[in-house]
Amino acid sequence: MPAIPKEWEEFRESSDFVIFHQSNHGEPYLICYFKSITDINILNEQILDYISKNAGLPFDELFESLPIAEKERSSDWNAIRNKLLRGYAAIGHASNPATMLVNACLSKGRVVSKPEIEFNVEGPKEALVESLDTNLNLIRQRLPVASLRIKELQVGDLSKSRVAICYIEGIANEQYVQTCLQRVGDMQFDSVTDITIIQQIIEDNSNSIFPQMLGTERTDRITWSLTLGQVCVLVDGSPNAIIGPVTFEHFFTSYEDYFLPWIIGSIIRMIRITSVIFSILASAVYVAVLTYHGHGISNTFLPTIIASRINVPFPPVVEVLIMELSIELLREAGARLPSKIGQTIGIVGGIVLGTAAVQAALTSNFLLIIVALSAMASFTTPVFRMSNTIRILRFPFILFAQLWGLLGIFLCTFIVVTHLLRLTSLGMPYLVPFYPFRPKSLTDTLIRPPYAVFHHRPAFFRTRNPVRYDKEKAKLKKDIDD
Amino acid sequence: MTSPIQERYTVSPYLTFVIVHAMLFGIDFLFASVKPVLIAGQDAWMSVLLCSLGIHIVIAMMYRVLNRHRTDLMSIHIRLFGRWIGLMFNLAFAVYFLFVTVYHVRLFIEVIQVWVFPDLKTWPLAAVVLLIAYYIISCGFRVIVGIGMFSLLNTVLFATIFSMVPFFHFNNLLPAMSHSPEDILSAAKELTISYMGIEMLLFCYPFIKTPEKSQTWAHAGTLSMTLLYVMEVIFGVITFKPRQLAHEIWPGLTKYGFIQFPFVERFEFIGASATVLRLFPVIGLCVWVASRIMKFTFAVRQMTVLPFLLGLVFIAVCLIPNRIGVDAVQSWIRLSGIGVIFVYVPALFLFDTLRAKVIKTK
Amino acid sequence: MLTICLLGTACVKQQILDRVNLFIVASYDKIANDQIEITLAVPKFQAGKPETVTDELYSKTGRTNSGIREFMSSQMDKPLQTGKLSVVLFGSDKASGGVAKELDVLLRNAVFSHRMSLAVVDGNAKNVLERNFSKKQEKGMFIDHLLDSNTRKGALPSQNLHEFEYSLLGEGLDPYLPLLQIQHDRLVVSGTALFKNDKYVASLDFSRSKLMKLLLQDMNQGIFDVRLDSGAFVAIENVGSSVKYRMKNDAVAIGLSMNGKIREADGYRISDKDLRNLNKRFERQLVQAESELVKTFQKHGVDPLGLGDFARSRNKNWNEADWMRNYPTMDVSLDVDVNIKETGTRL
Repeated sequence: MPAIPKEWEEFRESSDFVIFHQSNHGEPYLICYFKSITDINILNEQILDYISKNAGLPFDELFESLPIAEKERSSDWNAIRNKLLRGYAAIGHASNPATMLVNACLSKGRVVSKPEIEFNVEGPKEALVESLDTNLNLIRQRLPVASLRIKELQVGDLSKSRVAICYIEGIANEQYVQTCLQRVGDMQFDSVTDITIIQQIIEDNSNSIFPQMLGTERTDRITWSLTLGQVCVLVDGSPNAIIGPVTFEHFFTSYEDYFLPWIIGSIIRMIRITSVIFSILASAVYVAVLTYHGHGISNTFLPTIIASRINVPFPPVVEVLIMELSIELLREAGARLPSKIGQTIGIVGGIVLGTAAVQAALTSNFLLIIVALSAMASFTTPVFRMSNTIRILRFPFILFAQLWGLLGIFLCTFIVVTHLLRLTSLGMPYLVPFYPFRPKSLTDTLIRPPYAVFHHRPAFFRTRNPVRYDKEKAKLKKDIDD
Repeated sequence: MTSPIQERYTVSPYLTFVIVHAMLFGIDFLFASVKPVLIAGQDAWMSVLLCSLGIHIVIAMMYRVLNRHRTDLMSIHIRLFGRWIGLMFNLAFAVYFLFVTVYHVRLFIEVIQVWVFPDLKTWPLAAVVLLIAYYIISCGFRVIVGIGMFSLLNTVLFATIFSMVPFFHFNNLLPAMSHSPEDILSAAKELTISYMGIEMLLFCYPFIKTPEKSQTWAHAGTLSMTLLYVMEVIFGVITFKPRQLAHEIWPGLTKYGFIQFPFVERFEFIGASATVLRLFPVIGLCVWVASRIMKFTFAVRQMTVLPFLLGLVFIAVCLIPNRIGVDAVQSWIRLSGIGVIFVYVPALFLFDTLRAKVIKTK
Repeated sequence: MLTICLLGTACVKQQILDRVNLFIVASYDKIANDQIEITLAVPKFQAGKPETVTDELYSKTGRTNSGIREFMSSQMDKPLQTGKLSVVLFGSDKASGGVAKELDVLLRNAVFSHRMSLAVVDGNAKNVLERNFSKKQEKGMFIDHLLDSNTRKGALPSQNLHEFEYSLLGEGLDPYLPLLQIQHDRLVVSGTALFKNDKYVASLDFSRSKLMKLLLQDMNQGIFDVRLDSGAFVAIENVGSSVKYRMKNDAVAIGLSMNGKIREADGYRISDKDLRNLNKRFERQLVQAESELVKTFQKHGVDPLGLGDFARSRNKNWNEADWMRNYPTMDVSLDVDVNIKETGTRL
């Protein structure tokens, strides 16, 4: 290698680029690296020390005997540049055209911590962090099998993000893996700072408000999905992974359901699904009933509603929109502030504003209860992106309800259902196993079945190997007192 | 002339059940029981069974023809009658299906105008309904059938008749067999209109994966509808006196008036609004078939022809002014429906069988 | 553009619940020939106090229902919403003159509930609504609850709008309605009004209404007094009765069986022998009372029990004219079987 290649002048513009000659006797070694991403200890104690002790060795021999695992020789300028930017140190010598690249990468990042968005009481408390290697380490630890495949790609012209696509060979359908690999490989975007950017680009329908891949930060959930035959995508720098293909129903499944006894898990799951429906429809039904179908309310209930609303100057739809928007406001304000101040804002906003609004006759007590309940119900959705969707979905329903009452709500339902019917996730229908109807895969949908009936993977993932365990072997026939 | 349908656009055979169910459970279900009950009284359930038997035979005939040619009716027409006559037949069917669409949309709007919003104008609702229909149809056959599947919720709503048990008078079912066979037959004739829609199978056939297997499901769908019709007819008999029923236009909706929940005292407007569940699968399938025929005949894209067809339907719907107009369309549809199911299909079957025999002997 | 156009014309008449005048009770009175008076009790709600609701009465006379309603809304500050109507009262004059026209109004418009209660008022219905019989509740709701607890869930017979029409249009079947009366400033359900076609022809008092309900349907309410030889009274509560009709020589035979429970016995000790006696005595008393009741029906030529309808279901060649010719003189046999199951905690 020549003294200092002139391409390297480009690096000298950056102040963290270090280049120097080291020599004991004879031709000096040219050593360069970015000090911001290089571990100076490794460099000093292992590399430089070794070089100075074995200065007499020829370049090739030195390379082979250097006691560092990740090292390579290259004379390709692009490869050298990429490695340097990843924390490698480049070592050159005039006697040889190639450059030695040695990994001395320093990675600083968060340590593995508790899941905060998908928090749970029971079960493991371990969430992904920003470092891809840590994340892969966490996953591999949970699945120590050779068939767990990790394919790495690089996306983003500027960010050069490393993307890992994990699946289990022999379980996951190749078609989904191929689709995923191809879409990630084809995506064009300069800076991929988070997995959500990849998600938005590779989703089947980017113009839908429904997420078609499931984002999670829980390693146990990722492992579970991999064992079912799903594919998981991670990106360096993002503490979230996305899982696909998924069905609509997966977004209402909290992973904690699997840790609870199946009856309790199922009941909680059903409560969650009911509350989602409630959350979407409650305020729209309020508008519809109060604006058009007042005679549908029962006689005993009538005075309560009318007496609470009689001094409110707005029509129900304006009242509802004001309330819904103020709840959204509270939520946004709470989300942008540190958690302690956020709580205060919540209390101030919720109690003080709510009471004041009722006393000032800006809203009825009854609506306040409905809006608060439906806001609360929307928080029960375990996947954050879906709970955003549900927040937004309310508004078209309210508008349709204002236009044509209950009929409007029905029409809006049809639009939403049609949209859901046409959606796919990595090519798999979104509403499966309800449509197309797969009765055998219905077990893990509305209820969380006991593990005794979980002997097959859901058929809609079209897995290579549908059997989870041998049902016959597990079966124990027992008589009374036997 | 047509290439085989790609597998990812086809549906599983069991969805034939959904297609049949959705087509037969249309809006006319709400009043289909009136006339038969007025004619055959408490024996009307026998007319239902009789009519359904006829339908089963027709379905069997349809499948014989379809299985022999392994394609849909459009290509069969060309094959049997030559290009020009075949195309004429196809266009006639397209017109027929468009009329069924017009009829259903107008009927739906009438239900809404009578039961929910008396001052609702026809055209805005028609426009919105057809826009949604456009969205549904443009998503393709699978989605249309999916909407049919979603509409099975209606069957749950049908179960609400059990909330009327206190008003049932089982005495009305007696004396049994008090009507003459002529009455029962003519009641069965009145009922055929409610079984209109199975001719849809002639066009959906190539869109069904392993279509031979779907015949069982078509029969099952008809059977389940027969059950619902028997229940509806019996319900009409035991809840109303005949003279009372003669005043009712929509006994299927009146029954919602008896349901009561702690918060909700009236169920009619929920039931009437839920009529959309009956509407969309029917118009989705009908317009889809009509646009397919257009594509087949004029070699245009379905997406291009769809807005035109829906526009035609929209204009036709707005032109039907009132109850009298609806009744006129209804009687026309009834006539052509009976014609298609009980005259045209058997004739086609006979012709096709003879033709096959002749070819064989040659 | 299309959307704006759509929103502009697509809107339908809004009936925001607190900006309409609703009414739960309405009454019909006959003023003169073909002139009727309609009275509505419109509840006035107060903000934040759902428990205090007062009524404001609106009355108008005229010829057609809808005409009166339109005329009436000229006195009101808010549009009138008719959908909440749950109780319709007929003055006795109006009921005697026939209620078919009013029924048609209620049944034709989909906004009215088929489940609404109907009742006949002894005297003028408007006068009843003017009285202050419910201190706290809204009048319509009060009457609705009153009828509900005493008739539908109680021991007295009643018919809602659908059932009334059913009996009216059915052959061999006549309708009936509960009868309301003001007694000492309180509104009471005093008995049953019997209708011939759509006209009110006769009334039954409270205890006979109770007996009528026994013959109409299976029930488990009602307390019956039995007089003992000693002059003391024993009160027997019906805890489950069932009634069966069957045909006997072209006439209907009614079989009634009842399970009873002693509720009150004047401190009188009841031995097993007494119980058997009591059983017999109560049976005899019921047979006599019910026979008299049926005789009353026959005398007025009304058939609220639907005996004709029952005969129709058992005979293919039944026709209404023949049946009604024979009805007044028909021998309706009664067979009563009482079983007093227990005597409470004491003998």
